[in-house]
Amino acid sequence: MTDNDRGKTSEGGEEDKSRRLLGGLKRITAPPDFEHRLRKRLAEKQGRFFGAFGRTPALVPLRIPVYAASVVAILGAAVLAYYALLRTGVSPSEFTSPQQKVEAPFFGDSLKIQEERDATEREDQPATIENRSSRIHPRGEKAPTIALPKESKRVVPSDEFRALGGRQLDAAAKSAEPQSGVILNKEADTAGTKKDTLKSEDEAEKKPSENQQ
Amino acid sequence: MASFQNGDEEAFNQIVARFKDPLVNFVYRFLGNYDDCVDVVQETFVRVFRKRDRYQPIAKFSTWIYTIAGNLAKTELRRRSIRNWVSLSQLRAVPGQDIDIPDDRYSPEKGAESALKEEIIQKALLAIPRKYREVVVLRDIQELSYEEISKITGLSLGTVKSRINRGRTQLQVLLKDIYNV
Repeated sequence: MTDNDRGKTSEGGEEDKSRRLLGGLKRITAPPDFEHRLRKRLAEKQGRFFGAFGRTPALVPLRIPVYAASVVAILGAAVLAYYALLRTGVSPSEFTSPQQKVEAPFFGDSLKIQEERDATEREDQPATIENRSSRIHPRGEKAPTIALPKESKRVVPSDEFRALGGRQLDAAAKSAEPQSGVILNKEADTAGTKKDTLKSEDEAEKKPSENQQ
Repeated sequence: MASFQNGDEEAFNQIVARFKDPLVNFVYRFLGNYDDCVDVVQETFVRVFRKRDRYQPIAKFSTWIYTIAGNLAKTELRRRSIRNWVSLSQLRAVPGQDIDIPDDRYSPEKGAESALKEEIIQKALLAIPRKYREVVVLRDIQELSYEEISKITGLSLGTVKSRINRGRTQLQVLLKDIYNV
């Protein structure tokens, strides 16, 4: 007899003993009212689960009515949508066809125009020190001021003034602004021509009315 | 079970009639308290009723129902924090049985076939660790095969066998007087 066989027999002997001992124990049985209590318990649980439906679906699994209801709801919604499309006169195929093309708004031109406007406004603005400083210091900080040389007026010495005389100086001053005078004269000329043309039109209107009379 | 899944309520009654006693025996040997045991077995049948759609015929029904009962029994043990020792109140839980307190003068020759012997064995069963107790009860009391025990407990066959052996060894130590008869 090998050691292995001895081990097996000893294990088998232990198994037999254990089985004999434990298997010989008295069988514990359920109490007589076991089924009655079980029915009561099941009824309580069912009432808790299905009380909202007001029925006793003891033999109907809960999944089936839920699935059925969801399928019916989906089909109903599909049928309603189909008939709603038929009423409007648009067949579902037309509805889905890409006939109604909606062009996306193109902002390219307007953007360009806006950029040009901005550029012209920037150019129009005088490039003053204050403007630059406001750009550099946008939070209201006091910008550093730079003292610029004021425009130098021509100081006429008193001796020269006397030599030239006051009238000559006035004439020189008038001759210093020739352009504004020209413009004014031009405006006056155009005003005069406008007046003339209005007068001629009035006369032209009056003449046919006199002829009619 | 198939007819029960199809809605035959009478089939459920047959299942209850067939499995209530084996389950009560198994759970009682595992828990050691009769009232708790009946409660667990009732809950087992409630679970079977509610989750009958989950049962697949590829597994044996007895394996499935034993698994449910075993899991509920373990949950009960955890919940009530039952320790490995048994109090006297728990031993008195079996109706219709008077229990004598065993003393050191006890000899197996005097009452080998008495109720006292059963109580000692039950006490020893509850004294061994839970993981050994479950497999020993399933094997030596419920007389299930190793494969069935493996499926019920979710353990490998080798683990089941080793646990059974260890459980038996521990029982042998606890019940050396009775073992030596």
